[in-house]
Amino acid sequence: MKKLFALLLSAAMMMTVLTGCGGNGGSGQPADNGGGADEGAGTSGKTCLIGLSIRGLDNPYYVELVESVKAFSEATPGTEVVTMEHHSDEQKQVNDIKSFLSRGGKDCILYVDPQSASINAEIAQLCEDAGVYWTSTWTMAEDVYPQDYKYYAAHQTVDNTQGAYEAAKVMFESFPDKTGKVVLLEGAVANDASDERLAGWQKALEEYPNVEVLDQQASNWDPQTGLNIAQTWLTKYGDEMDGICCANDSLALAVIEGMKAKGKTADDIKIIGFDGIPDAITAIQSGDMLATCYSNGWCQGAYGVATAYHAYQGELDTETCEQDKRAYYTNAITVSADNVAQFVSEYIDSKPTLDYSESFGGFVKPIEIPAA
Amino acid sequence: MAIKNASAASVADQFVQKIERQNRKDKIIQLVPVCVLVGLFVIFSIAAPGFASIENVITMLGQTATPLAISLGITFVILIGCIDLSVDGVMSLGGCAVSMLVMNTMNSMNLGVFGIVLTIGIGALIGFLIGLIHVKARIPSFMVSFGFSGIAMGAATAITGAVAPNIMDEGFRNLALRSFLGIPYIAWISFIMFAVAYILQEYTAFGRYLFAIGNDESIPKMTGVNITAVKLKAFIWSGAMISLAGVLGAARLGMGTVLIGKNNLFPAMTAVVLGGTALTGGKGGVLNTLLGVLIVTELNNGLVLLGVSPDIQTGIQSVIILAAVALSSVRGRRVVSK
Repeated sequence: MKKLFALLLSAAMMMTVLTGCGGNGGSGQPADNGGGADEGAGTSGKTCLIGLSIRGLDNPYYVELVESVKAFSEATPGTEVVTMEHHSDEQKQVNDIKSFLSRGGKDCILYVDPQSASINAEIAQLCEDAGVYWTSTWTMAEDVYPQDYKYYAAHQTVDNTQGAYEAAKVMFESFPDKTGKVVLLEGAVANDASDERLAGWQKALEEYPNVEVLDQQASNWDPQTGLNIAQTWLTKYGDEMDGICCANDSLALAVIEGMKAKGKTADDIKIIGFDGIPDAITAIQSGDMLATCYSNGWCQGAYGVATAYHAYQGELDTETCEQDKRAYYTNAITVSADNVAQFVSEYIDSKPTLDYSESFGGFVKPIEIPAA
Repeated sequence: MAIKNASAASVADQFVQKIERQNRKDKIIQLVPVCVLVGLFVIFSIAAPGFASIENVITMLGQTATPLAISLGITFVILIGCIDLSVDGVMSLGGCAVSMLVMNTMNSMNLGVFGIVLTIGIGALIGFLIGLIHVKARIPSFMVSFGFSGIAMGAATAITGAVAPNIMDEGFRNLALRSFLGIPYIAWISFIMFAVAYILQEYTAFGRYLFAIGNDESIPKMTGVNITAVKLKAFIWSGAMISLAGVLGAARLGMGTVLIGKNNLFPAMTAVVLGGTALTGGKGGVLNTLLGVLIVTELNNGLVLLGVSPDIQTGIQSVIILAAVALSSVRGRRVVSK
């Protein structure tokens, strides 16, 4: 009985493995090798696989990123998108990339959101050895810079500090006499995105001397923990609290619910977030939330892939092009009540058209690389 | 002859005395969680102004809703000596499922209360499957439940498609927003479930069997108790409670995100152990769990009120929890249970 059961289980596992291999990893588009491709042939007629190594599609930001890359792929004949989700597991991410590289050979490019800086060097080396161009996003490791590698085409990230700074400014401006007391709800301690956004808030605080910080706590990026902390703050500070700065939109939305449960409205306590997820935009439209910073996954994805693709096609020579451009900040848009209508029409009801022929279309300003 | 009887009588006396001493020690140890609860309350009231205020006590009671539901669920499973690690996944699935069954922004379902019942049913079904595979295939419960956590989490992600449905059902949202006698409805729901769990544990045969199986499985087996049925019921209860916790979480957040269940396993386990229920089974119960949950909530709330820096908060919590567990685990060798 036990042997039969074990046999059945193994068979089931084999089946899932086979279907996984046979399919396209969940998001392939049939390669359109239409003749008359204008892009200029890198390698004639072969499909270029675009590999996306991202955290997970349970996050609307990544959903948008993948959509923008698929749009790029549709506009670019001879390409196919392969999505790999690593769900915050470094080992899985590295293994996914290795399998992808062996599958794609020379005809692939990669767009990677590293789980942590510790694996950047490994990925850079894998791609150098395989001769595959790649772009990274969000996390860059010290001493592993695009300019040091031929195949590490570019690194792009949103300027967390700048975005948080802008959102905080909107909040402080909204206080009567620019005076008020705020609490800071961080993401997690020693987490890059959280620390950078905290730095942004603190930069804004320096410019508004009449705004005081009552307390700051970390929520482990968990909405329920954030809600609990916010309600506890309400008990402690009551009407003294004028604003809550949240490290991302999920936290901000949970805090809004927590405040509602205690009978506080958006007029009593202003709330800002970060990310620009659809629910947050709705909250800004209804007045529940004051501001957020849209990470612009739509531009990030397509432009990041475009850089690697142009290098693969031979249109972009990573060693002779402007080196400053290879590590850059993309534009993040602060959304508040003032511009939400315009934002919605530009980014939600329609999507901005991107110029895929731009190698560094997403470039806004370079990231400073410390001199070696 | 008389001398023999006398020595026999004194041996019996000694035995009785030993048991009485042990029972007294047990009673004192059982009081430890209560002492910790009251002690922490006193310390925080003095150190953090506002801690003992009615408003804060109500806030804390509201914060116990979801952890209590989860802990009540896994308590029964721990009592029989197994463990249920499926918390994260099943809770997320519960939250996402209910948010798609009541009136929401993603589809046109509007099942109201029936939606909640259906969601609890899904949780119970998962619990049943975990129990079945554990008992029939003899796979350790931690493996089966951990596997199902992943399956449930995947299902939660798949059904919502990464877009969190917002809940429009007024009545459902009011569970978290409105209060009765000042305490939010979600807290009342948890307390009612606590009462149900207590009745099940103390006044039904099922409850007694839980302890018996946890202590030594072979004994109830010999007396003809259907071990499989009891174990299955324990897992079904656990699955149902965890998915109820997901429902309460969705009510609080107003939407069904897959983040609802994240990181809820460890605090729930901590609460159960803190309360005095042994992970090996057979000892403890839902009253202990209630105490454990209250202590954990108290700690979290108090440390924030004290304004303790987040960097050292986790450290302090761990130290206090270690101390409390060490104190309540000084059981020594147990001679006989009552």
